[in-house]
Amino acid sequence: MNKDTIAHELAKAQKSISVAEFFEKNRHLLGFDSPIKAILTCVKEAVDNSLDASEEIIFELKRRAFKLYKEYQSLKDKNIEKAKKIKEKLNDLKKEIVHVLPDIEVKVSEAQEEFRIIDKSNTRRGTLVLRKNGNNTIRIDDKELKFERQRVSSFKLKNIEMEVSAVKNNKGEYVIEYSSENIKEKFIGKKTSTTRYVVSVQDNGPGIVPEQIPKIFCKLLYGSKFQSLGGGKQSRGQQGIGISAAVLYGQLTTGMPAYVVSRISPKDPAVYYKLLIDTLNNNPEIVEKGFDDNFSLEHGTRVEIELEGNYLSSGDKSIFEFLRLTSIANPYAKITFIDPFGKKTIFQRTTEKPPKEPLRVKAHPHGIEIGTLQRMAKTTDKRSLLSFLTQDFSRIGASKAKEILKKSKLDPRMKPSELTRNQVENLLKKIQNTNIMKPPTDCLSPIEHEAIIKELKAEFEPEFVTAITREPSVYRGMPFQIEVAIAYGGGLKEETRLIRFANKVPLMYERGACAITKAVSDVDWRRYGLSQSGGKGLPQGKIAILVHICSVWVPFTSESKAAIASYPIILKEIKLALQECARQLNNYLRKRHREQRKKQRINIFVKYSTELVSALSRLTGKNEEEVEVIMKDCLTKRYGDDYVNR
Amino acid sequence: MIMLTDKEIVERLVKIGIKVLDDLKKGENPALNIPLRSLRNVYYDENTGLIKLKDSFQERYYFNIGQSKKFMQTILIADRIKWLVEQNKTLSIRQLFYTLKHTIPGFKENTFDSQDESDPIIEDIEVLINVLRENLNLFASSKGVLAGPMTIIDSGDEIDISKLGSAGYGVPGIVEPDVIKFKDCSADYVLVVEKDAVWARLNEDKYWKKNNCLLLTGKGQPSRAERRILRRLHNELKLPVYVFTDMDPWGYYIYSVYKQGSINLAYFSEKSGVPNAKFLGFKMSDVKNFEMPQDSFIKMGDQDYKRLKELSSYAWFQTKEWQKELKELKKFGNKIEQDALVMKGIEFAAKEYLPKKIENKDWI
Repeated sequence: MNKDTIAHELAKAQKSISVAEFFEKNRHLLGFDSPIKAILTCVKEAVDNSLDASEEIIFELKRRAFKLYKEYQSLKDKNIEKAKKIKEKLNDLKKEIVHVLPDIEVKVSEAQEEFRIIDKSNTRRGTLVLRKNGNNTIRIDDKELKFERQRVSSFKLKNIEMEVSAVKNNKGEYVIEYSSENIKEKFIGKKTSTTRYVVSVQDNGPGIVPEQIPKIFCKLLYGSKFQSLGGGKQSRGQQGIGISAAVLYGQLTTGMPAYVVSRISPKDPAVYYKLLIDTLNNNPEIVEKGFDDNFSLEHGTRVEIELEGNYLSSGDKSIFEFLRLTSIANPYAKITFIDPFGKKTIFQRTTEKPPKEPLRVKAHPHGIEIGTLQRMAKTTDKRSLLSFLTQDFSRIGASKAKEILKKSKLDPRMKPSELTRNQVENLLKKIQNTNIMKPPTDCLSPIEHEAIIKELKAEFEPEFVTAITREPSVYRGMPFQIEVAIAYGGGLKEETRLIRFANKVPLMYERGACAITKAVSDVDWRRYGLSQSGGKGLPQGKIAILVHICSVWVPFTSESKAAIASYPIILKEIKLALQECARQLNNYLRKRHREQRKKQRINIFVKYSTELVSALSRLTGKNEEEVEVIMKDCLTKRYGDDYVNR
Repeated sequence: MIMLTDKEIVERLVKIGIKVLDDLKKGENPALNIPLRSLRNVYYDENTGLIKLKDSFQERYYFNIGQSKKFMQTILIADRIKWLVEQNKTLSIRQLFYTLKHTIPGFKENTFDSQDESDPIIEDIEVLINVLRENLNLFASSKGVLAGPMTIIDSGDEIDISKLGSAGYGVPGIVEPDVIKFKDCSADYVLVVEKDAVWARLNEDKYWKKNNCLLLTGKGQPSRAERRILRRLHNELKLPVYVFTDMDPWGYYIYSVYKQGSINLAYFSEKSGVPNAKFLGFKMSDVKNFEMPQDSFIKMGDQDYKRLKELSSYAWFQTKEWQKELKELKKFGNKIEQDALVMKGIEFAAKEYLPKKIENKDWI
C-alpha cells in the first residue's frame, strides 16, 4: 500500500480536538468574547449554579415535608400522640426551609492593576503590575524587578541592573524615574483598561462531595444538568458547560487556578481545591487540595476565579444590574454584592415562600426530531417498541402506543434498537399524525405574578405595576410558560426598560435578536395610551416591561444563551400576555387622567373663587369672610375629598 | 327696555349676586340666565320694522370649566357697574376694562386680558337686567360727526352746530336726553353718509346749507351713539332720514343697522332704529341713470359674495325691491364706492346726484 498519497499527508494534520480546546478557540460561543462580557458571564455562570444548587436543598426538604404531612394526615385521627410529634417535626422542617433559602454573596475585587510604562515619545517601554497580595513586578526594557509591598502610592527600588522611583499623581498615573547604566529617563505609567479581577461567588447550598468538585468545575459538558434526550427539567443551566468555561477563561487569561471550597454538612470539613483544566484532554488538573478552616458556612460552596476583564460599575450590562435583575426573578433569594470599591449592596428577599419544584418530564412525542428519536431507540433499555413508547415518552398509554404501531405497521414486540432508519422515519410520521395529549405542565416553575409585582415595587418604586402568569403552553412538544409585568411611572427613569428572563436568569445581551424584543415591538402600544414612534418598537416613557419565559428546554438562538428563538407560538403567548398587562396599564392611565382632569377642574374653580368671593361680597354687601365660608362649604359639598386634599 | 331709576338698577344688580350666593349656600351650581345675542335668537318684527330679541337664554355656570372664568368676569363687571351707578360717575367701556384688569392673586393669570373680553359681558349685563348701557353710566368713545342748521345743548353748553367749520360736531358717547337736548333746528331732513371722507366733501360744499338738512356720518359701521341720536332726530324732530352708502353688501348692511337695528344689539333696536329710513344709494339703477364709468367698478371677491348671500337670507331684506337689488348686484359682480362719484366731477354728489335722488324720490 502506498503511504505517500496526498490523503496520507493530510491525515497527519487531522486529529480530534478536545472540547476544552475547541472552546478555547471559540470563546464567543460561551459569552467570553469581550472583557466586559467575560466578567459578567463568569458571575452569571457561578450565580446560576449557586441558585440551582441552593434550590436543591429546598426541594429535598419540601419532599420530606410533604411525606411527613401525608403521614400526619393518615395518623391524626388514629394516633394523636404520634401525629403531634410528626406535626412538630413538620414545623421544624418548615423553619429549616426558610433557613436554607438561597443566600448568595458575590464579590468582585481587583486582583491586580497593570500600568503601561511609556516614554516621552509615547513608546511602550515596560509594564508595572501591582497585585493585591503584594506580589508586584516592574519590567522596563527586559529588566525586571519584583517587590513585595501593599498599598503602593510611591516606591523606590534598585538592583544591580536598574534603579527606579515612582510616585502616583492625582490622575492615578505613576511618574517614574528610571536609571540604568548611566541612562536616566522619565516615564509615565498609565493604567490599562483590562484589569485582573477575582470573581468570588458563595452560596449556602448543599455543598459538593469533594471527589466531584474537580469534575464539576473543570470538565466541560459534565454535570447533573445535562439534559436527557427529548425530555428534561427546568433549570438555569442546560448543558453543563458554564462554570467550567469560566474556569477555563480565567486560566487562559491569567494562568491562575480556580479556587473552590465546599462543605456538605457541619460535621464535615470544608475542602478546598486549586484547579486547572487540562485543555487537551478535558480533564481537571488538581494544583492543590486541603482543608479551608476559614470557610464559616455549615454547608455551601464558594468559587473564586481570577480573570482578565473590564468591570462596569453601572449600566445595562453591568454585574450590578445583572444581580439586581436576578434578585427580581428569584424573590426568595438574598443576594449580597461587594463591588471592587468595597461597596456592599444587599438585594433582600421579598418573600420567604420557597419556589415550586420543577419536575423532570419525559420527552413529548410531538416535536421530537428524527435524530433524537433514532438515538433514543438505539440507547433505550426497554426491550419492546410497546414499552419504549409507553415508558420513554410522556402522554402515550398502551392503547395509544398500539394505535401508533399499528399505523406504522410495526410489531409491538420488536426491539427498539433494531429499527431501521426508514422505520424510524415512518414511526415519527405516524406519531405526528396521532392525536396525543399535551405534555404535562407541572414541570414548570414560574416566578409567579404576585412575587414579580412585589419585587418590581421594591426595586423601582413605580406608580403602577401589573403582572400576569399565563397558563403553560407547548412549542415543539416542550412545555413553556410566559410571565409578563409592566411597571409605570414613579421611581422609573424616562428611558424604557426591557427586562428579559429565561428560566429566572436575566438575559443581558443580544436584545435585538430576541423573540421577547420582537413581541414587545409588535404590540401597538399607542392603543394602550403609550407613545410609540411609528407604532413599532418599544413604547416610550417611564416604563419597565418584564418578560419571563420558563421551559424545560428554553429555545435559545445560540449557546451563549442570550436570546430566545422566535417560535410563532412563543411570540403569540408573549404578545397575549403583554396585551393583557397593557390593558391593565391603560385602565390605570385612563383613570389617572380622569382624576387629573377632575383636579384641574377643581383648581380652576378654586382659582377664580377668590375674585368671585370679593366681587360677590361687594355686590351683595355681605361680609367677605362670610362669603368665603359659603364658597368653601360649597366646594367641599360638591367635590368632597378631591377639593379638601387637592 | 325701560328706563329705570339708579336705585332700581342697583337693586337688579344686587339681586344677581344674592341669587348666586343662595345657589352656593345650597351647594348648587350657580347659573346666570343670559338672553342670547345671536342670529338664532333674533327676529324681524314686521309691525315695528325692527330687529328684536327672542326669548332663548344661555346658562352660564360657575362650576363648568369652559364658563367658570366668564362667570367670574360677569360678576366682577356687575359689581363695578353697581359701584359706577352708586357713585354717579361715568366711564368709557375701555376705562371699565382697566379698572377690572389685574392679576389673580397667587396665579399667573389676569382677570381680563383684553377689552374684547369685557365688552360682550357688558352687553350680557344689559340684557340680563334689561337696562341699556347708556343708563349704566358706561359709554363707548364714539366717532360720529354731525353738521347742520341746529343748536344743541350738550351738558348745559349751547352749541350751534352750523358753526363748527370743517370738523363738525363730534357726537358724544352718551346722547340721552339728560345729556343732549335739541334746541333750534330748521333742517328738513337728515342725510346719513357711510364714510367720513364723503361727509367732509359734502360739508366743504356746504351741502347741508344749500339743501337745509343735517349731515351725519357714523364713519363706517355706526356705534350706538350715532344710531341713538339719529333715532332721536327722527322721532323728536320728525325729520325724514336718508342713507347714502357704498354699493356693496357691507354698505347695504350699514343702512339696515340704522334702519332696523343689528343682530348683536337687537335689544337696542327700539332705542335706535329708524324704520322709516330710506336708502338713497348707491344702488344698481344709479349705475345706468348716472352713467357711472367702467373705471369706477371694483370686482366683488369671495367675502363679498358670502356676505351678499347672508344678506339675502335676512328677514328684513325680504322685500321685493331689496331682493331685486341684491340679485342684480350679484349678477353685476362689481362694487362701487360712494367716493367714486368724484370721477364725475368734484361737486357731482352735492350738486347733481343727491338733490336729484331726493327730488325724484329715487330710494328704496
